Amino acid sequence: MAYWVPGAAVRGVACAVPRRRLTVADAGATFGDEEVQSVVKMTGVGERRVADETTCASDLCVAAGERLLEELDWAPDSVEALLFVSQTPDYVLPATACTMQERLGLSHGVAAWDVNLGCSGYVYGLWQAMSMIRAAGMSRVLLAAGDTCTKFCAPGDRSTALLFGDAASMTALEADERGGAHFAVGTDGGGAENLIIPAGGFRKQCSPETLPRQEDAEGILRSEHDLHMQGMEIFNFTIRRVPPMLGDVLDSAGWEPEELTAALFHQANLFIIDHLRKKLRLTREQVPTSIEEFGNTSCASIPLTWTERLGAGEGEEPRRLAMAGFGVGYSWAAAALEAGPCVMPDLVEI
Amino acid sequence: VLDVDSVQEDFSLQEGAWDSLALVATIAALDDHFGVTVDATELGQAQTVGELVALAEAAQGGA
Repeated sequence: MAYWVPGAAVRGVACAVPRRRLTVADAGATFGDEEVQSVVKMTGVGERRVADETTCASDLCVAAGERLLEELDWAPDSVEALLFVSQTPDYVLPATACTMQERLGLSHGVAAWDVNLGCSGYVYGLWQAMSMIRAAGMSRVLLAAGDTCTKFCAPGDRSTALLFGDAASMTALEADERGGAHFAVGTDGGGAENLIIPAGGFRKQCSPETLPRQEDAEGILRSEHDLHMQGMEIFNFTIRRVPPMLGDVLDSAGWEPEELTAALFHQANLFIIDHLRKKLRLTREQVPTSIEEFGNTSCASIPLTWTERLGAGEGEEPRRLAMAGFGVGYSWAAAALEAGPCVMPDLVEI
Repeated sequence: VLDVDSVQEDFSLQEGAWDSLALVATIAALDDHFGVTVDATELGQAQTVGELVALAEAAQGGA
């Protein structure tokens, strides 16, 4: 089932990453070159950006947001809502979006809230932002989406430590009667345990028992505050859910796969992306990837692929884009939208 | 590496590199060729090629 949300358009997208790079050779020192090569062959991750201890996803979002507002020439007080999609907020509370209101110089009348979603988060955020414009009659909304996932990966866990990179994005949306997007979303909490940080919330609070990294049943040294990922289960879920979800939004838009300019997939890993591409009868040219340069960047992976691989599209006809985010939750979301030329500043590095 | 004709049902999966990467590749291959999705946990527990085939056939029957 798909939802058509009319009346809103993307005006600009900016992304920010930490300056610090981690290469395959760096990883080889920890896991051994042969081990790393076998993982890289599947994930496609060559290089990643890694935030230092003091840099949060919100810092990257604010840096991207300041650049975007400047290039759009939007007065900060013209923004009516700010959503922050992330699973690496600054604090348990308050909502990070509230602190970002102050840092971005947005008005005290702005609506600001956090959305706790990862892989599906960017598309969910677009859906919420466009729905706010449509339903609440807002004219300008900012969508911040970013994560610093490297902070919760156990250094000795090859399934996560070789995969994730840190990145963030800011997307500007505006009321536009010619705009709109088709969305499909879904949830299966039965898969929650397959991508989870077990401790640190209120189900299992931080304690002396949860903190030490100990060798678990899989022989991996990790604590309950590290990410636990069952890659096979995630892959299974992905191939079951993503193709029908994309089919729903394409049907709703009345588009055939070959009519798409590009399908922007969450950059989960290259093997998954390639499998989905073939299953959906898309060409390599239609499915740009950024995972080789930035790793799996959670909710920032779709906007990062958009800015770094597709670009602003200046002087071009509006593009037909499909997007699909899928993973932690399980949660999944897809969009089909026409996106005209929009503002895309160069990648911000901090 | 492996002579396909020589693979029998009792061929042991666990003796080779039957790791998570091999499992994901197998799930993908079954999806590509037969349009079935096998349970990842059950696939990981399969000891032999015969058990793998049985899983795929069960998934096909339930598809």
